[in-house]
Amino acid sequence: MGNEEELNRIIDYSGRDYKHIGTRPVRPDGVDKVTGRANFGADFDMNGMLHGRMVRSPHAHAKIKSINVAKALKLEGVKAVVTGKDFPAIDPSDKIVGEVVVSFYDMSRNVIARDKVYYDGHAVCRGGDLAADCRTRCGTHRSRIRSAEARNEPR
Amino acid sequence: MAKHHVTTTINGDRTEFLCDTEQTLLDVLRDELGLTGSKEGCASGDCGACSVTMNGTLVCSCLVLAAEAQDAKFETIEGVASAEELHPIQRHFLQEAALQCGICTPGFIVATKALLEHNPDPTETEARYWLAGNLCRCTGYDKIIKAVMNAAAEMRGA
Repeated sequence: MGNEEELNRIIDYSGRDYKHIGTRPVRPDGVDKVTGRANFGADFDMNGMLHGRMVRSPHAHAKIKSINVAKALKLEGVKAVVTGKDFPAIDPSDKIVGEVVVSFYDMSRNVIARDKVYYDGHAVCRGGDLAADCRTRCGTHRSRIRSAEARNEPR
Repeated sequence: MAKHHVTTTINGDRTEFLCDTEQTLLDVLRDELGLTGSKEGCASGDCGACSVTMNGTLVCSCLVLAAEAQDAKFETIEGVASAEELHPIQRHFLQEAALQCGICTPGFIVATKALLEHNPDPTETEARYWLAGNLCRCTGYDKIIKAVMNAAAEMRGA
């Protein structure tokens, strides 16, 4: 049997009956998703759950001289404030993660700004509050972040 | 400041709630009333995931202040299906596989319902322009438009 003939035999699906291939099944989670009933991560609410709010950099490129969280911590309802200092500095070596090899160095410096902000909107601080409306309160300590050396032109 | 006491009709039910001045209608739907079918994608009116109708007009609920809702009538994704069966739009979205992750889906379905109430026989171009304010980042738009056109045909009895 020649190669072409063999290939045709393999790819000729006519007359074969498959359970799923060639059918148009409705996705099993479809009904929940088209009715709005599906619960995504942000749709869950639990007793005593803390609501976080991100404070973002107003500068496109700046060194963080200091972040004063004392005032934010004193705000009513605020249970905790985290900044880049609360995250571990991960060394630049490659780590085996499942099927791939990754260095978490850049990620650990970028997920929340550590010593420098790299873009306008870079997360610098996160407040945890019992109330869902904590966005306004977190906004009030935005001005506590002192940044400098904003550089909008490449050198 | 004291909270606002607001009386509205949501999906046909008289609904009262208390809200802060800065809370959006979306915040109230999701956080106060437990109607989490409307999604917060961007909170700036770009993505359409929070689409609802307010007195018959399609709006982004993230751009409506909850305090403005006094005496208004709202329809959300939770009110689209009846207790017994899916709305034809929902059925066609399923049949055409017009959804994957499902975050944009409630907004698309509410926007499509508003389109077909406004124009039961849209051209494909009209449907695409109407839904231009709803963003989908997984399925792409062809399957969604196909579902919309099929639903429109069925609802017209064509």
